[in-house]
Amino acid sequence: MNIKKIAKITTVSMLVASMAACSTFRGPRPIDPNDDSQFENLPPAPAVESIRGISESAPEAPETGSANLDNPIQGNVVADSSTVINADGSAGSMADLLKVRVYYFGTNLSDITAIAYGSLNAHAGYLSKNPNLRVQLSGHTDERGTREYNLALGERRANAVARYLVTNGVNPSQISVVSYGKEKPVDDGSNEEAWSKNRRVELDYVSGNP
Amino acid sequence: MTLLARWMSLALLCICGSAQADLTIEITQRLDDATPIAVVPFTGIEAENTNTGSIIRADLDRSGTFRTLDPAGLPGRPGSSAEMLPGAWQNVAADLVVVGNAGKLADGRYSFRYELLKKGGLERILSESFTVDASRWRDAAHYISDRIYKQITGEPGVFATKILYVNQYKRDGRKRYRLELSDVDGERQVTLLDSVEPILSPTWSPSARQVAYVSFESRKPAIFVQNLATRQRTKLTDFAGLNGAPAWSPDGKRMALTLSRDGNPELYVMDLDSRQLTRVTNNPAIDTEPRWTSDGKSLIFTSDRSGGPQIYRVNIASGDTKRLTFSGNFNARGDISPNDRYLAVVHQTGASSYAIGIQDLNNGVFSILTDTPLDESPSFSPNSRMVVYATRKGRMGVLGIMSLDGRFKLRLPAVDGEVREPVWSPYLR
Repeated sequence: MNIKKIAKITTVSMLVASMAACSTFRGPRPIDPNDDSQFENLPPAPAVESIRGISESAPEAPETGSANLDNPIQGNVVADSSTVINADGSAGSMADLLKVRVYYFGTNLSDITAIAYGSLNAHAGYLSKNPNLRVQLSGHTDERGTREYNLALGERRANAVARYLVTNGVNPSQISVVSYGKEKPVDDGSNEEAWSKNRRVELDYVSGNP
Repeated sequence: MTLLARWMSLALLCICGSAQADLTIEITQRLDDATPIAVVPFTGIEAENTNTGSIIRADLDRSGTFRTLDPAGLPGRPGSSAEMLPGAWQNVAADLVVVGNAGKLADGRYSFRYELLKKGGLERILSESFTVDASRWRDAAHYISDRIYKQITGEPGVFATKILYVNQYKRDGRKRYRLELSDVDGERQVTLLDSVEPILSPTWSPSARQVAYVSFESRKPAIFVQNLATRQRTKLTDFAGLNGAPAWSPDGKRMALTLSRDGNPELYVMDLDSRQLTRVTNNPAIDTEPRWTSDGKSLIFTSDRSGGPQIYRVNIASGDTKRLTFSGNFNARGDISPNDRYLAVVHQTGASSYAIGIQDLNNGVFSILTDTPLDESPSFSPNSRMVVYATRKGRMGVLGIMSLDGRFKLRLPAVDGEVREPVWSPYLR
């Protein structure tokens, strides 16, 4: 199993290196260890190992990244559309893809970039197998432009992700959408690097019942 | 007196008077052909250690139309034309002189008397006396400024108006938001709401007795209405999806707003008595940021139906829609001047820069008003002469006021945090 994992990591890293030049994807959102708000709505996080037996154990929301990343998989793993989800739930890569919770967008665009599909497929699969779980998608924009228009653009982005999940088997009742427009940037800078981090949709698992 | 010294004395004036204000004033540009005027410090009492003449002087300077003389250089401090020594005022460097007196009556009310004089005090143009309740002594000073402004320019002044805005500040490392209003000179700041979640799109009712805004306090956008006298809040809409960009109709009976409950952001008009909604736009694009024309029959709004945001006008009854802006790829957040003559927009000027643009709706001429790189949310003064907008000084959000002819501008930074989303009040009654 370990060898298989390492082989998959190597494949992933190589593909990422080759795609880095043209991608708008920036990898998993860095978790701020001092920001407690991210943990507000999470059910208890299982250890990575327990996700292996998804179909056997009681369904729980997958573990999010934590500041300590107490994680048998080394390195900064990124989602890749070439990573395949096996029928048995191939726990290693699936858990990594499920850890990815942010998807990025080009300026003024609401198109899902191809590199996000792997992770979105993973979440779609996980949600359709666990109909008691719900996600909230929050849409965001960079600081340029007007506030209300950006609220609408953020919603358009979140809706694009929602539609993708529904197309891939998720029940619409499991998804809620909210837009914060430009009100909640992760980076307060006024440059393209900051803006590209802010043009995003965040996916958060919320409690099971509406 | 050197220009610098005069500006410094003006700045000192503002700081002294702004002990509790959240906004301060910095005049950043004024052309030299402003009309000189001498405002003599008022005789009589000074409410809260502030001379009525100082308030009038600051008002007139801030209008950009006048340039007041330093009181220290004036030949005396008469409170009326009768007290002016003949010949003493002939050589003053201003043809116009204002003199006045403030007194307190036995019942606690204030009495004011003032005169606007010309030609060294020989000719009286304006003369008035009146009384006000004790709490309104500042309003009285602004009223006198308005009367002087109207007398000389022929146009109503806006010295007695207010600005509603959002203040973002930090406490314990967290961002917080306050909805505030203040006099247009930054005084008498009032906090209407203090929240850990964002507040956006504030707007005045036509009577100026209520405000509406979008609040994220329930972790999603909802529209609230708040009464200024009672501070009572009412939730107006909280539909699924967006609830945004509220705008009162000129008759105060309806509210235009943006909702996405039917699938994508569209404009709706709500009757405020019945709460009944009428849908106004119907297309898959983003339609938002509505503002009323003064006849109450049409809305101007932002739509990206042509590929990028532009300003359109829709007749509410017929649904006829016409595009208004054609300059450049991005025009949003329009505001129509109360005289229906001008459209102010946020206009993209470069890859990452946005300025306030003004379109003359009579002849279609479009010009850029501001020269700072990240400007937003323009709002016209009720006399259609000036625009308040959000801009940056360095990295901090501040407010700017610019006259439409571009000749005069000033900046209002916040004392604590950043300020944005300013909206100019109607004339107050």
